[in-house]
Amino acid sequence: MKKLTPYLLAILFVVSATSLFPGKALAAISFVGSAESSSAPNADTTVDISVISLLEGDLVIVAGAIGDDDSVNHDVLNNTTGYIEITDLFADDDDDTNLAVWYKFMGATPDTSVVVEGTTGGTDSSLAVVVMVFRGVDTGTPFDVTSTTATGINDFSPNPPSIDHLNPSGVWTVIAGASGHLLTGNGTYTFPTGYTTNAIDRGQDDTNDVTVGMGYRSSGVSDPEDPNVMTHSGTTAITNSWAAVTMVLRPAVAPTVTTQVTPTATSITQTTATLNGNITATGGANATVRGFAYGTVSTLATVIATTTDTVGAPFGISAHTAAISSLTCNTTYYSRAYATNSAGDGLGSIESFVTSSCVSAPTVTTNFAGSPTYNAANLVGSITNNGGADATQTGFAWGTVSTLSGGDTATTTLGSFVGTGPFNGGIGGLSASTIYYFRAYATNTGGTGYGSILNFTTGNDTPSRRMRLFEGFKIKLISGKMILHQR
Amino acid sequence: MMTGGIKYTKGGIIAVLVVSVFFVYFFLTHTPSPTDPGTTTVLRIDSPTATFLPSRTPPSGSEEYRNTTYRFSLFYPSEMKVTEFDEGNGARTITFQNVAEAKGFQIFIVPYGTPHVSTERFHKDVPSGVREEPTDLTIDGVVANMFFSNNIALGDTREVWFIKDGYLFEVTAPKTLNAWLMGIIQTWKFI
Repeated sequence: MKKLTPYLLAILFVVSATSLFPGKALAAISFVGSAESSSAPNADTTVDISVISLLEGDLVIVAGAIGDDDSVNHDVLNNTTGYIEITDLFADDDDDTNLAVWYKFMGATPDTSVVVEGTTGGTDSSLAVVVMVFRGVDTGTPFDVTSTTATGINDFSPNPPSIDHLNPSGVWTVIAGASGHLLTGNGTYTFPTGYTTNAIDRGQDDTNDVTVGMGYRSSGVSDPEDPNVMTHSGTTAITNSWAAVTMVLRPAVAPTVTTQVTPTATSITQTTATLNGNITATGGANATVRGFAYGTVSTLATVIATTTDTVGAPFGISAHTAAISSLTCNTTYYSRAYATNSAGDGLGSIESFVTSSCVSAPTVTTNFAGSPTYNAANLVGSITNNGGADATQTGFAWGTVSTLSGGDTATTTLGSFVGTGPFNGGIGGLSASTIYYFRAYATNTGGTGYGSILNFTTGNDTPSRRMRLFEGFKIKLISGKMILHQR
Repeated sequence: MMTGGIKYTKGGIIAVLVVSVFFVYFFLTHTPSPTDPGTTTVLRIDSPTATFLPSRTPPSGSEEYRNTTYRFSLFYPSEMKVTEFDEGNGARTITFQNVAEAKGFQIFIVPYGTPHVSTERFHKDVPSGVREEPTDLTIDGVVANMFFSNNIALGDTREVWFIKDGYLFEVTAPKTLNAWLMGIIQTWKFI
């Protein structure tokens, strides 16, 4: 066993090093909740969906039905912004059925209600609405195939039609049906086998009554799937009508992730960098973890590490970053962003960046301005650390702007400098009695280092000559010979 | 009377012409207008590690004076006392004098940004405005101009002026010491 231990450790290390992303869960649709409401006669209804714990990315399906007797195909309207109509059906009998079905994916701030317009039905009409919410549906293609529809008269039991889907793993079928009738009281449905769990219906009693219901099947979905009849309560009357819809929900897919390209990494130093990525589509289920894989192999077949960010999860459409360290200077690294939801891993493209040169910019200090005159000064600076390579250029930036940006700022170039130590240079042509700002700089292959900004003030003018020779003596010239007398 | 007047006028014209020629020469070659954009001379600042020409061995009875700030050297008689005065704003006066023998000269050095001496500068340092017998000479490769002048303290003087590395040098001695001063000037070297 002792002999095997090193090999086992080696295998564990390889597995760890090549495990690009965290584990993933199976994709799955789930039922979140339902709500209902109705109104009559000739009035809008508001469905309170705040009681359902909605999250970003949840799919809300609304079925609204109007029962009346005017033989007019009314356009049932959903007055809440953002809903997409799946179908709008009409069945004309003595008691008409107008059924519309809509869907909407919730945004970052989910809706709290749905308003369906009932005034379109006119006098003596009634309106009933049911809502179902599902989670884990593919936001890009929520319906696996085009929904199927059917209508009927002389009956009030909707018969959702068969649907031939693409049979991706994990699909759910959803049925919605409505009945226009003249039964006394609110009607109800008995849902077909496989559609009874959490099924919901709502009836509205008025001069012309209506019933609407919705159910789903989460397992045992056949291909094609024929849901069978939603049996309405009461005795059949030949004056009734119905409408029905069958939908197939497609489960969520992995998030769509992009690795930022320009630039792939920011704040790059010799040993650190910040990676940047984006979740551009959730795929129907928010990500539970996001991060980056990085390494020095261009294919990322092996990686140095994978970052995992779970703080604040789940993650919708969003940007994410990760600060990485312990890198090697002047080395090409490859990285790609990822995000994982219940459907799997979304991977961005593999991009590269290069860490900073092993040579860093020199460390420079600005020392002082020596002997400033009315129009000149001697600027002194020092290289205290050459950063690993001798300076190829040294000098000073100087001018009358305190930030040394813009204005009359100029730069001197004193040439290369070997090792560390002081350097200086004179500047001339200055104005008298003026504050000048300056700082030293030195450049090597690793960049440019700057000293702090100092300042000096030029003199007010040059002094005039003063005769110091024989100062304190009186001069007499006698016979061409100079004689000095103490004053 | 008329003839005499004409003769006087011709003499005056000749005199005016001579003076005019002198001043044209003076201003064109030595004293451009202060507003002359011309070229500027940048103050020479040596790095802390700058190197200089080595010290020279003076002849017997002389000493070497070296100044690494203004980078020059000269020989002077050993018995002379050397005194330096900081005049501020980068200017300096150095005197070499032997009071007992009434011998001496001074060097006034001031930062100067243009390659020619302006009339303003000249009058600032020589209030008398006297500048006679100007003559060019070369001091260790630098063109200088010497002339006779007058100073209220020294009386008649010999002046030797030149500009080097952004500094104006004004060497002054009593006129009676002209020949003696020229001997010292010949030992001048820029280091």
